Amino acid sequence: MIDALLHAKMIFLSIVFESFPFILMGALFSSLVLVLIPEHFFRRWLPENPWLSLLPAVLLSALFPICECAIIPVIRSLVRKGMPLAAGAVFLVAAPVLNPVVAASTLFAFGLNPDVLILRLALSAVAALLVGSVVCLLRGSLEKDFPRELPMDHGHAPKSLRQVATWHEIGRHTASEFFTVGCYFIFGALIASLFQTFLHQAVLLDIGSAPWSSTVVMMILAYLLSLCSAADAFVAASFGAAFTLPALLAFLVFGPMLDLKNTAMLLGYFPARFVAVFILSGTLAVFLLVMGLHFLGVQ
Amino acid sequence: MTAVKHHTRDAGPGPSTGPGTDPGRNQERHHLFFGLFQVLLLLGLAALQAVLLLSGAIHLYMAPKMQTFVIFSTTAFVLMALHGLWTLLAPGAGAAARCGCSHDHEPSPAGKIAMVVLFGLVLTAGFFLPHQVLDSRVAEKKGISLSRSAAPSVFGSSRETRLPPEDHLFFQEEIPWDSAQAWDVPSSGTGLGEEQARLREELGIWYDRDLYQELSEELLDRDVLRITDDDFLDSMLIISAYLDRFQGRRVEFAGFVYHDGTMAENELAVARIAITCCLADAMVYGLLVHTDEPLPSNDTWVRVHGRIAATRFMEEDIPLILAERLETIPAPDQPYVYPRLYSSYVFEDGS
Repeated sequence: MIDALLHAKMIFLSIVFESFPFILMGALFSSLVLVLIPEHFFRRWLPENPWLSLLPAVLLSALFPICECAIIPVIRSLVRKGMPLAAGAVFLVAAPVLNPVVAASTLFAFGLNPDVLILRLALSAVAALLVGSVVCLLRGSLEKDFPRELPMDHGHAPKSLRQVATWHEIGRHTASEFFTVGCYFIFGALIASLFQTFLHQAVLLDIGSAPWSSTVVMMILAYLLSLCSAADAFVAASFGAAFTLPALLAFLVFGPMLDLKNTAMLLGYFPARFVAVFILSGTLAVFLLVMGLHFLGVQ
Repeated sequence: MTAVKHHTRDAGPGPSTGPGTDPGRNQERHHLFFGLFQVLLLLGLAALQAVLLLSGAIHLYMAPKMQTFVIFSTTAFVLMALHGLWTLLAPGAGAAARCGCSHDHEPSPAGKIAMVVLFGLVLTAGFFLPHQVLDSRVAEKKGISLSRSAAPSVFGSSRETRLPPEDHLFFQEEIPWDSAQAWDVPSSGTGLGEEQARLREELGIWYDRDLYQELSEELLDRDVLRITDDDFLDSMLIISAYLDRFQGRRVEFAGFVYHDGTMAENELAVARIAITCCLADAMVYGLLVHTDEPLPSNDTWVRVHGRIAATRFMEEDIPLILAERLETIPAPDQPYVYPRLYSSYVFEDGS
């Protein structure tokens, strides 16, 4: 038992040390957004209709080379600056998958076979649009929850990087973001490390043989393991024989969007109602898309 | 770390005695205390990571590629701590940084307790609990891959049938091992033939002209394949892919013993744990070994001297090593192996 707990401790610290650099980058980036982007920036530049922001958000998320640990505070800052919540939801789904590091590792994990990569990117983009659409439909009640009024918003002109005070502010925001997101993250990593140590995967894998059940099993596994999106393709590849390609894609698309550690972070950063809508619509979107692939005969 | 602690403690009392009304002063003191606490946490994290980096123990936690990021975060923690001290101690700087949004920075009392507990847990576990190398427990929980080969293609350009799947997992609940199916050495491959030829053809599309082809030629040229730690995963892939060409060849490699109820009494896997980024993505790769000696217990490190044969498992041909000798060895300093990422192939291949 003590051995098992030490095993859990190794995995826990490993996840924490590996993610800290990315959480720090996310905190810094989010502070830059908060401090430097002028108030109502998005209101001025984006189309009035939030539906029109969905597709640009998918395309932009490919330009953000940012993983799931870092993205959450950044998106909150952007939404506070007036970016539509629906576009934020699109980023949360798509950005951790649509990036070059994830693409390279997916390609290599599956023996340079591009099919898995292409399907992974395509499914993530479509799932992002679906989740964004749901958030868009419900925007009336969801946006109401979201505090956009920031104490420092009252009439400050955009800060200049030449002023020392600006840098002080960025530094303080970065530290406070790091501590806030760090708490949720450490909690999520702790739970994930216990599942990593004590969950007998064969028990789960045995359930999944039918298309729907294998899809569900892979989504549950992705959720519990809380892998980072740069590494999950290698783990998915090791399931190769036991699962069909659509089930593996469920793992590869769902994991980066939602897992134990980022659910903790989402709950800390977004209103509960938004998190509930995000989790439900994301889960449903991935499940239905993967079942669609099964239906089309992809194996 | 202790030296730094003293520094912050000594520096502490200075500016809290600034001007202000009584409630304001109380708040100011509270603010200072919380700020110093955060500085201490940052320095603690930096010290912990620095100790791991300097002692080399960091390799027990993550793949070498990720260690650069830890240097970055350690530096960032130190800078953030220094900045925290500066804003707390320098007159004016603190006020400038607060800019009327201080309530956004200060978590609720519950939030502060959570911060103490959670960050405290990281520091305590990091400083006071011993390191442990992941072992056969991972294989028990996650299964073990006994073969590595290329993944099948779905948009199958010219092929009608599916190729043998990528890897297979070997779990207790699955079909019990039937060692009677193992072929004798040397086998020219009745039954091995067709699928292997196909697989090689498939691999050829990507690999024939580069690293794998070279490595496999090199391996075939050698009298005895001495598989090093660095080559473990690649060699496993090549032996799986070109299984018929390696039949009967001598091989030597090291790993830890893993045996479970699904394997015959004279069979064991000699395995390595592969880490892509962090320990959460640990996977176990091993070669199935047949031996006439009594089986060493799980997690014993052994060097296998034997010959390559093949056996069939779940409609797939996998390597089976017929051991002539199992030599018990001490656990290596670098227990893990690391899958190469795509970039390292591209760059190394070009050189």
